[in-house]
Amino acid sequence: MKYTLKKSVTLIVSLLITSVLTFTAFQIIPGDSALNALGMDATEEQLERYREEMGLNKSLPVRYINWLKGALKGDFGYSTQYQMQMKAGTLIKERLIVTIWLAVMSFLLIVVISIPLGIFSAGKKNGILDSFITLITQFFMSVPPFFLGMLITLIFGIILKWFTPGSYINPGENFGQFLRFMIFPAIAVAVPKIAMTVKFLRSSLLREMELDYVRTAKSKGMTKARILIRHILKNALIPVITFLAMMLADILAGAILVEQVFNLPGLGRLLVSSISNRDYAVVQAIILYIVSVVIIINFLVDLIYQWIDPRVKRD
Amino acid sequence: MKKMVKIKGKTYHLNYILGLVITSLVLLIVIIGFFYTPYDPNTMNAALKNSPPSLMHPFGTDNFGRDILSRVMVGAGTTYVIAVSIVLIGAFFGTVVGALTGYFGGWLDEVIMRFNDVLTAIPSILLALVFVSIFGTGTYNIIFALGILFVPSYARVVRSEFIVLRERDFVNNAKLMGAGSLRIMFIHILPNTRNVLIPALLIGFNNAVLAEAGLSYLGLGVQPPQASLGRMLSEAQSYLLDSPWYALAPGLMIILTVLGFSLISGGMGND
Amino acid sequence: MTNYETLLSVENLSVGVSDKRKINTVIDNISFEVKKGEIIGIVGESGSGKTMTALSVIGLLPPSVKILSGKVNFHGKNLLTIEDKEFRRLRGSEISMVFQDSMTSFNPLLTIGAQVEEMLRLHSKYEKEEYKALTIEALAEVGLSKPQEIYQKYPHQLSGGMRQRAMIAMAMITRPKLVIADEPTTALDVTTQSKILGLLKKMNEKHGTSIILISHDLRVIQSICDRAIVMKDGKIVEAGPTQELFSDPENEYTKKLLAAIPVPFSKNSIMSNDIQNEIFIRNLERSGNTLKKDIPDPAEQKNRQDDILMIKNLNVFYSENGKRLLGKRSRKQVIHNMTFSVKQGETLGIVGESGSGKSTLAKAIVGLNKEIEGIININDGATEGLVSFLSKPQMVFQDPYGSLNPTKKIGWILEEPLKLQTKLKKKERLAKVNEIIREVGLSTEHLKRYPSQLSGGQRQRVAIAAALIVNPKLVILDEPVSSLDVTIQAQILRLLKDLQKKYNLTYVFISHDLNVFFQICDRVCVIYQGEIVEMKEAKELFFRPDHEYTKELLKSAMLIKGD
Repeated sequence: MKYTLKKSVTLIVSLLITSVLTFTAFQIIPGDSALNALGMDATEEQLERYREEMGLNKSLPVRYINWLKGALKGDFGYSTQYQMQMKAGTLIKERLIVTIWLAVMSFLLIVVISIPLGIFSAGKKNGILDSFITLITQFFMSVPPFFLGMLITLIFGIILKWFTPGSYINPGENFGQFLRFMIFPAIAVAVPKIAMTVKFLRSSLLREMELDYVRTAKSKGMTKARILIRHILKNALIPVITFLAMMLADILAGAILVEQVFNLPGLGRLLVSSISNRDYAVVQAIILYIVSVVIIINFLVDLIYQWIDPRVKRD
Repeated sequence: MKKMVKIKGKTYHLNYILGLVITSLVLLIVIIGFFYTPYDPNTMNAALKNSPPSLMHPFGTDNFGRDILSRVMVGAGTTYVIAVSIVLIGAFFGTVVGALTGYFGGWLDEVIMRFNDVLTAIPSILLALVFVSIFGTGTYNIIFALGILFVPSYARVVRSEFIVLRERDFVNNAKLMGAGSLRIMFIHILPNTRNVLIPALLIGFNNAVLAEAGLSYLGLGVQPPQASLGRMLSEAQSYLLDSPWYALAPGLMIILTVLGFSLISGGMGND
Repeated sequence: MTNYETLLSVENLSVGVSDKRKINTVIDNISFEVKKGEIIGIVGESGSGKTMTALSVIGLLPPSVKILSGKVNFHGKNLLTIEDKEFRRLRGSEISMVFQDSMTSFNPLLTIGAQVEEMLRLHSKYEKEEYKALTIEALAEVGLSKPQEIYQKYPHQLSGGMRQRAMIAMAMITRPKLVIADEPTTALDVTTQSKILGLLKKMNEKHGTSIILISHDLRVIQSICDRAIVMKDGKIVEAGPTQELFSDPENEYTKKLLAAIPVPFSKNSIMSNDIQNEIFIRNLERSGNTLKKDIPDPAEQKNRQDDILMIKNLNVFYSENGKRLLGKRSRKQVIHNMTFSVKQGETLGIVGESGSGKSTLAKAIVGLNKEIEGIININDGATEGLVSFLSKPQMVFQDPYGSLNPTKKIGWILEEPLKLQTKLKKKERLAKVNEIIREVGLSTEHLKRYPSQLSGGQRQRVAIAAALIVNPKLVILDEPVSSLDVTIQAQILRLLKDLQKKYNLTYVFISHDLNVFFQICDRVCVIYQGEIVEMKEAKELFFRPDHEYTKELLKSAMLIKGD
């Protein structure tokens, strides 16, 4: 119980720190947001009115509180990169779905492929197959996800014509087509991570196999398979869980890059264009979202950890 | 048995040797690139726009008629210099922070570790993007941004080593002999972290290369006309249909660089 | 309870390790038998092949180790040639094993109950409730109180002794015919050791289980084994009934092993000689010497300048490293109100088991632990001779692996204290280093090496050299020989004695091993839970222990014949 409490406190503190940092970071940028929003032709009067409306004249802490209040409701102010007056929140909502789907599909691919592959390669330790697998995993870890995306586009899109590059379809319109298209960017994101996870799982398994309790299990007369499943796997998977949680941050990073390659209308592309266009309200919001999600998921993983590993429960 | 190769009496893993070979090749190309390239990387030649690989231009030309091979040689050099700088900054400050917090512990350690946890939770690209959006793009900015981003992971690695090592008797012995804390930290303890630190440096280099490539690809890193591998890839994207070789060279270069170092650091673990 | 039927017979067994192209023989043509109901001991130092022998019998040799020749006959079958499937069936049901390190030998994520029960589930068929009931019974049988609670607990929640008992329960629950115990007591306290050995004996008597007991410690073998086998370098050098082997060894190596055991005050016989005791005590009384009081009162001592170390009302605390941000610092009191003093040139032994606080005391004396209340007075004055600097007390640590910096050459390690504490120039420093390395029995060749290139005994010599190079007057030694082989132990103790005489050193010698004390200490101080329970001249402590705890210690160290 104490452990959970401690972690919850850390969670809230982290989230608060994040929001403060995110907000403050963008306040120190030189440049007048009023000017940005209204353009060079605006009169001083218009600029002043804008500033009043937006509450830009208030002090930093007050502005922060206002922003935070809005943020919790999903209101992040107005976006400045498009001609029409769009709320930052709306822009984000539209793009969120795409990125979430991309991340989830990648994650599923990773879990479904890495675990059997990891177990398999640990079993074939020291064989020729093992060296080969190691080489392949090293190779795929060296490929930047966006380059992989380009290769996939080239090979599967242009040469094999399994999909048409750039033909993204909204999930609302045609869910089947949406999935069929999304699978390719998901693969681009997932492949390097699969390689990393396989490598990690393999070494975790191998490390467990060297431990004394495996020898004890053998001395009891258990078959290799039983030892693997009942004893080793559970122990070896524990560090893998934290690894996968850390992976989440990487998946999001990969998503940002891959969206660019496949021209997906997701958060990543929005982020990049917002930065180029100095649409700070949107940038702030996206950063806050992504970071919060990652922190919350890490928190959940910590809780799961406690449930699985009795050594931690001790607290 | 994992494939072993015997050279001068010592046995090495095949992968390690492979890594050395690949890395030497890549480094050779880059070093040559500092002094000589087949063509001037910035000279445009409209007549030869987008030509496929040929004897004259082994990797073809880009949309401005520039020789891709030469650009790759120089671009790789840029990428490397950036990556090395990033790692040096990250490792240096990270080691100092990690050593201090790992050795002394206390409340400062707690605070810094919480901070660290938050930082590592965030995808590094994101932080880099934040940084870039605040301070602007460009080579020096990304070196600075990514360098700082790398500090937490080095700090964490060094810190956990120090936490273990400070309990060892040779440290107690050093204290008894009268060694001061700084001396103990950097002369007695630090050399013992090399088994962990050196692979971390190699991996850091790889991550830095990939990070720079990513940022430049998004247009937020190295700016034209400076060439870097990531930049070239983003330029290549629009021409994927017609001139796929445009992307091949820089992509291959990245892969070989990172692969080479991975194989080496992987092989080091096994020795 | 010996029945003359042979249970296990090992014939001409040879086992080797493939190292690059060569094969290194690890076990060389050994043969021995284990009869039903017998307890056999295999004794040898590290590298003797005793563990490999055990692993060969149970079929758990690591993949790089190959059987070269021979047979292992168990119940009519040759274990080396039967099918894997059949061997697996035998393991756990007919032959089982108890390992040395009970913490790592259990799966940390499963409960004790689950793991012990698993043994039953693998080899027999019962109803679900019966499994649990039988497991709890087994846990009770090995002396674990509240077995139902233990059933639910995880390995890290039990003490070392309790875990070892659980491991024995696990090995015995299927009533195997043969149990192999590989150094089952090495990681335990002396008092717990004797209890575990007693438990094994009880199992043997109650169920007729044959036991192969492996140890490097002769006294362990002697305590419960009917017969013993001595191994060296993969060969059996001598074998026979334990009594005979120990009282009248034939082979040179066996004799050497026995001689190396520090034996207090008597000849080779480990069994204390009651007659000798009586004579000694009668002599003492005749000469009018009354047995001194337990704790010498420092105030009464006339030659106070002779006291090099004086401790008065000392309380030592230990707080967890890394104080938490929230919550108080957890601080334990480890030493309670201790008072004693040490004269120059003396060797004081401080004996206590784990948890007694002896290491914390050592650290406090040398100044590594500053959380103290009370007085520690160190009076080493100016030293005579060519050296004219004051030196704080130095310490020799237990673990020669951890106490030398693995990334530095020996020469550097020895030079460092000189760099820090003296103003000598490089040339003079090197001269001193060369001098001291020879003093401890090594050569200047060793200066160029790294600690990993030296053996345990050599490393400890270096540790001693590093402590002595600054000419301290007082040296604290914390378990300096505990992790060394018996023959090396003797050498190091001899070295320490010689150096003490030569430089008029004062030693405070800390250990849990009573036998070592009686070789080298003048006075011995027994600590229990942070307090001195008894402190006397070594001889008196041995022959006339007063305190119950001291007696318990002596009994467990098999220095007194117990019950």
